[in-house]
Amino acid sequence: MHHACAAELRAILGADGLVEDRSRRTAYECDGLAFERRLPDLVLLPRDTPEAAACMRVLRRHGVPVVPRGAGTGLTGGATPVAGGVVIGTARMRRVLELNVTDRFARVESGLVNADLTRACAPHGLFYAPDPSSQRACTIGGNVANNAGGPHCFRYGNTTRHVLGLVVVTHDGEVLDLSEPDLDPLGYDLVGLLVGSEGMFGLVTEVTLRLTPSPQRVETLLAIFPSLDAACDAVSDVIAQRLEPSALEILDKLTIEAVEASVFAAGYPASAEAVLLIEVEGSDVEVEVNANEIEAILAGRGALELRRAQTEAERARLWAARKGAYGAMGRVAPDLYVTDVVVPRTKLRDLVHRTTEICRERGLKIANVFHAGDGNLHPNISYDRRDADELARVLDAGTRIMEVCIAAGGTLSGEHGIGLEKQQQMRLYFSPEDLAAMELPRHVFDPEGRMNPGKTLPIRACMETRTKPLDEVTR
Amino acid sequence: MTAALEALGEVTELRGAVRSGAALPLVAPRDEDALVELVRRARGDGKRVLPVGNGTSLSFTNLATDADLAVTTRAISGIVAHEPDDGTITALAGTPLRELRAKALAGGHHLSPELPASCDATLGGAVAAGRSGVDRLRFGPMRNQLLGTRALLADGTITKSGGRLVKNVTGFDLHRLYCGSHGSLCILLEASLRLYPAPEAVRHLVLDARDVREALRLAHEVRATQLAPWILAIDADGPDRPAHLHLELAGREAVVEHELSTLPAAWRAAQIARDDAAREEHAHYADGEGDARRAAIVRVASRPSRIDEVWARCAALLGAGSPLHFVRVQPALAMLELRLDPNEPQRVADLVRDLRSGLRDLGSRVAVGGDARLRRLTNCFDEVGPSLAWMRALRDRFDPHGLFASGRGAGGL
Amino acid sequence: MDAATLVDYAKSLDCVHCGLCLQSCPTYRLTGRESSSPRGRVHLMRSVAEGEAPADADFAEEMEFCLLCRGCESVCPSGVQFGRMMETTRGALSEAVERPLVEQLSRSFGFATVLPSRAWLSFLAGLGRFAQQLGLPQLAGQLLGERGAALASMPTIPPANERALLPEHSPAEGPVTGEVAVLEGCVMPELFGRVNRATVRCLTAAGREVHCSRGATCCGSLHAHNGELDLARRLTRETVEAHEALEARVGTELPLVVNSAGCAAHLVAADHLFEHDADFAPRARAFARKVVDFSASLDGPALERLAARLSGGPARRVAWDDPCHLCHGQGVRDEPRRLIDLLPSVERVPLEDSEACCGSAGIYSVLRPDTAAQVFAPKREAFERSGADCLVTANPGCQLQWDAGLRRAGVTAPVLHIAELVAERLPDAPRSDGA
Repeated sequence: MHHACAAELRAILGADGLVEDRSRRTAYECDGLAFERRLPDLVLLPRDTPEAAACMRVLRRHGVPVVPRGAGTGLTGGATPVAGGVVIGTARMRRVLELNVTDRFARVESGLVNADLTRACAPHGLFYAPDPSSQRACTIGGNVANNAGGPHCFRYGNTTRHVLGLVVVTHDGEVLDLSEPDLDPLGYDLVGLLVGSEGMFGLVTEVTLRLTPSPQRVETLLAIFPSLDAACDAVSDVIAQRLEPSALEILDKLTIEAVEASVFAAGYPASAEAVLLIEVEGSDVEVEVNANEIEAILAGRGALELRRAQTEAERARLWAARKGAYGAMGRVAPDLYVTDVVVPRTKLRDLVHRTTEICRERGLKIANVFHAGDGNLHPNISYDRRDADELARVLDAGTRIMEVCIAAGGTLSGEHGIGLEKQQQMRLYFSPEDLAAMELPRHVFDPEGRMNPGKTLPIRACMETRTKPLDEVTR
Repeated sequence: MTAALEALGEVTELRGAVRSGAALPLVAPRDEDALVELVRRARGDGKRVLPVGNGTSLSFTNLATDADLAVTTRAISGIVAHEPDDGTITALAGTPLRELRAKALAGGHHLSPELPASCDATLGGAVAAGRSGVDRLRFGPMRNQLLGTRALLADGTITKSGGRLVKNVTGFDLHRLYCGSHGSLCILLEASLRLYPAPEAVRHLVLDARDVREALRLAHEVRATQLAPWILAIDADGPDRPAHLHLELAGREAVVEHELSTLPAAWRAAQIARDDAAREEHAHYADGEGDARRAAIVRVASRPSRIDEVWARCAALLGAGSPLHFVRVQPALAMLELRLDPNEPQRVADLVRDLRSGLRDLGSRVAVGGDARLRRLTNCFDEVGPSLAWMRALRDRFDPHGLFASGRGAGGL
Repeated sequence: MDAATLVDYAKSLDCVHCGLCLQSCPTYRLTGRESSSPRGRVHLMRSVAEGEAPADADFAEEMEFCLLCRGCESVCPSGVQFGRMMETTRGALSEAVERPLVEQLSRSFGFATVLPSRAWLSFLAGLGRFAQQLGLPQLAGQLLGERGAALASMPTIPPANERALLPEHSPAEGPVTGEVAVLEGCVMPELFGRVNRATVRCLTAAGREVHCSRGATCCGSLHAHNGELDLARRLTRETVEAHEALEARVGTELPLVVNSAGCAAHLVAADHLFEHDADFAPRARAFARKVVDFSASLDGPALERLAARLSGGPARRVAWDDPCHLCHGQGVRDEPRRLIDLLPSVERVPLEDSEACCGSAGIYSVLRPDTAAQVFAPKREAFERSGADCLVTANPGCQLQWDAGLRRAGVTAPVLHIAELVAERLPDAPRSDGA
């Protein structure tokens, strides 16, 4: 980092707004995808939009790459500074700027933790619907960058359906204010384009979000199945019957063992091959009607046992366990590779089967815990990144899983984004022309290629700042 | 030139689409290859192309600055994939929404946006116009239904964005950018939409009120409940005329019956239509929605908390003897639609000017639809503001040579 | 520094980097800096162990900046043993880090001389009491500026009669429900003699025969926290031996009731200090199993007996603040609430983020008063929002921190140990806040 640049930034942020020393910067060398790491030259922690914009102007003048970072809970390396440069963390920008109960929206700073928004609006009978498993840690800004999902997105849709507006600091330090919660965009839907752009179109500093009325009643059902296949079939049936639960999640045996050994143990039966966690919400009558029909389908598919959570505390425990599943897999091996693919919901059973086989063929340990209702699979592969051979097999399995899912009409990501992880596999899903079209807005929002460089779009020869593609890391 | 065009597809004429008032040759390429060829030739000849569907949304956009020919995708039609058990449908751009809707319904699904039965809108046109339906309250805008697109860019390449699955974050959401871009960035070839379970039972209620103000009060009571109605709207012929509050509940039989019982007391006086009768009421309600060929239409959008004030000011500005025929207020969406005498373009234009200045402090948006006479007198959209520079830059990047006619959208895009 | 001994490398591999711990960490919430988060610190440790990051002064500072509240352990799905990793690293650091001479001397005097010695503790308490009577700390505050301010905000040392030690045996009131030992502690009798007496009062009212050993003073908890592992081992061993001696004298096995959450959390895991001492480890393990928190020690017939004896007492709306080393360190959450809810004329109101650290963190509030005050600020705000008129906790450090923090903000609500709250509802009890 250029000395003069750092001094200018220090003048804007104060000494405690920068992380400069070698040791502390280490904490920013990766996100949840820990096998690819690179130390940022500097980390900036602005307190608000004007500070962030001032920093961006300085960084532009010095031609420094910028990597936006929320809480670093992403799973695709999206917040890893692969091309060096500066990480701008939003962890000190976490205010709720406006909570409009009548019009059901909130304006928040992008570093606000997802769960804290629901916590802030719950007393008013509202909640923020997207609920990634990391919602107790991940930030709204990170959710926007990845168009994050979560179990309840089955009913409510991913982040993009809930973002009404944004304030974004552009590559040159301009504050682009799109925060007004208009019914429809005036002109092009820049907000829609920016959501899911993985920090490559600017630094989002404020977000206007739609809030949803809390349902009158929520019922959580648990169905225990003798096989993963049966659980998948039950889900396909529920979808095909046009029923509308708010979440449909499957946990397999290995996942259950891991969470039941953790602080989040919730009483999932260790003997079950698969558990289907279903939530139904609405009025009392609606919940009863839906729950009864769903239970009939589950029984028809051979559920060994059906349970309903009896208390709010039990319900909370079941969900905490589901959401802690990824972390709990740390009990199995030091690292976890969480694949994120989506398949047609009519083909759930076959593809879960196939992905499991792909891992077994490579001698890898796989746990399945996923948003079955959306067809959003998460084969979780345990490994140890210190074992280069194992890592190579993991990446190979990941690619193979993506190939198989795409061949079946699926897609690369349902909620985690592309980042570094699936950059090369973008070619499996998109043609060169498709990818060239995606470069168009990128050139508009980032003409100098400084915004989160080396992410999402696959690398083309001799134009990229990134040093090496993922598959070379393991060689 | 016409002969060469006719080789690619039927050629007719499009009037009232460009500022100059000239009639444009309207080509309907018979298939995608013909369309690509047409665009290639136009690019080679330095001609400007105006993409349209069936032209049903054109009256809600400004007249294009200039164009040499119009191209419609209506002949490129057909359902590509319908996955009833996955809840998705994919069709070519020229497919009438009406056809898609029927197909979806046959599979037990509701397709949003729901346009009036008489509307000929194509899928591509509705996406490009970012059109909302009468079911907006329940399902949101078009952009929420759109899963992905295939589109022809100005450079002649065909590109995909998004996909056909209900959940997909792969790549940048270019389809969101195309939705509502009024053909200024690309010609849509295909789009995929998510489907919703079709309701088993429908109840359409109408409650009479003294005037819009009173109806607003009743509507706010409904909004404060846990109900998620498909329709909550007030119809009236004018500010001081009796108003009718429409409420539509739909879903499972037992659920809607129960919901009826939870309505605020005032609803005991409402007329209740069930199922087939309700569907008839519904069709009647939907008919005429947003048809700017029959009336001049002014739409004001605001926030629910401000709708009473917005209406009060509108009513004051309308005054006595205004050319207003009909007003529809959707309080939960904070949307207000004025249908006015199409033969009084100057008075409508003056009203629009007054509304724009009179509602500015409420952060309201005012949009206009109507015939070419009206649209010559007023901008259909509000001023865009500083973000326009970024939109222009996007347009320049997608279409550097201005192949696609501009000027229809907000900000002259 | 030797990376191999600096980090418990095997334990660092338990972290899969999910980040669920971030928000549970007071220092991360304060700074927004990921190196000051549990995941960040574990990542730093692992990087140091793998030779990818230097074990430099910045690393050491980040390790010492941790409050060791162990809030992260309660939310870690992977079961990372953060507290133990941190104790290991601090232990190695305290040997390796060059500290300024004054700090070195005062640390050594405090840890090695004062805390283990009842004589020194009593002497200094007496001296402190005398100085406070004369108003010297205020004077020092004015003369010495920032450094003196710490002296000025020192807790008031009670008069000598309140500093008297517990009797070695206190008989049960009525039929006996069991025999127990209580841990008197090092600082407890000097600053919180009244809490110790309230503890015994509650226990005897619940039908416990209460024994108290004089064989050991400090249990070594503060030492372990601050990286003084050798001293910690010595003191813990003394505590174990003293308890064994007491049992031998009484002639039966005795649960050791501890009213200081920090000490209890240390002692319930005492065996970990002796992993490499095959002879002593079994004794430590046997001892650790007998250690029980005060509120958790009251159950079944004892709790019924106690409940039957409760009556009257001042009406209070109380907020219960979970000491970190009670909820995170021992997993004790329901028992104190159950006990409070038994009390007549007491209404318990919820306290937001009651499991978040108050900033006391052993001697952290003395070493880093500014940080401790910042960590405390949201706790005070939550207390004020709760509508309570009394704060109840169960750890001397927390009690001091709350008391000082509320006073500073001009809040007059009393801060009580849970035993005090119970005891003031027993026959002939004085009000705990002296009012």
